[in-house]
Amino acid sequence: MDQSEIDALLSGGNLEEENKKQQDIVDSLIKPAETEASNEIDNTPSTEKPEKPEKPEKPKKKGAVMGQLSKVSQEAEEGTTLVMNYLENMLNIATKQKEYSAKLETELKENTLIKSTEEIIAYFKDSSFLIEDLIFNAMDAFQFQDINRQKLMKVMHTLTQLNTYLNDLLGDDSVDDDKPVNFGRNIEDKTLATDLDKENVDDIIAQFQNSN
Amino acid sequence: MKFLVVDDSSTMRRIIKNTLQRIGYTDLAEAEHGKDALEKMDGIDIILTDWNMPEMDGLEFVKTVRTTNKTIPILMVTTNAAKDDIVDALKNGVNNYIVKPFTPETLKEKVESVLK
Ligand SMILES: [Mg+2]
Repeated sequence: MDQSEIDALLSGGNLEEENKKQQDIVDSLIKPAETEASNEIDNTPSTEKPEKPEKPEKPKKKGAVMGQLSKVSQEAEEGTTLVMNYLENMLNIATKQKEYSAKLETELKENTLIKSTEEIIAYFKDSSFLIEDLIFNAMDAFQFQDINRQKLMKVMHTLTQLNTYLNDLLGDDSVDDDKPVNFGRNIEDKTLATDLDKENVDDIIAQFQNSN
Repeated sequence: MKFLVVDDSSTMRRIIKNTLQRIGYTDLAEAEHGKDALEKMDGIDIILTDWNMPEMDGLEFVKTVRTTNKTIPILMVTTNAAKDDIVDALKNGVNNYIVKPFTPETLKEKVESVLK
């Protein structure tokens, strides 16, 4: 849902129509495989004689496209894990800085305070809070990874269905079974804007609670 | 207060866990999918679960938990933003709902609201 749809929902607009539009797009994407799944291809006589499709050249390696997409998905996860490791280490350092600066402050207060030392401590303290905030923001930014991963899985799923359909049509039975489907509905339309749907979600929850 | 964070993305699990730690919750368990989570329910006080996962998805997991436990607070954290999905989750026993990507403030607010 984008903001206009949320507004439409809040003002009682036609949200179902919008959702249906999105679903139609998804349906159109997976239609060939659904046709195949009904097992009617071989039995249904065609009213007009189609031109015989030319069988594409067999790829050098089986599942080359799938393999590549799968690798992209895997590498993105690995890369993100690595960056998260670095960030977590930085976070630990910043947390330690905060502890030490507080300790230093307490100890110095018991003796004579020098103005510049106070300034340094203040800066040290402020900056560690800032570093901590920045690191948390950077970590939160990695939510894109889950969304991109699901988008890639959707592409892989569509390609697998297309592959199954084409191979069935062309008489090649060397197709792997479907991988488990674990991407969100309408994931291809998902943006990376944070909390875009929050007001809308809260509104739906309130409506639900009131009706129960 | 022991949390169970269920998500097939290890990155998402870490983001959620770090945010929870920052707002003061340190007793955290994690699971990769619904089936995995069902085996880790011992001593859990609140569940944060993703929807789209292999093996057993979040909705199936919630339904299974609710057959034996009607009271444990459950927060759904997912990319699914359609109204039908949100209502479906609520009907099946989810207490509150967060759409990814979210801000730490939203997570804090929602966790506090289900713990009230
Ligand atoms: Mg997921």
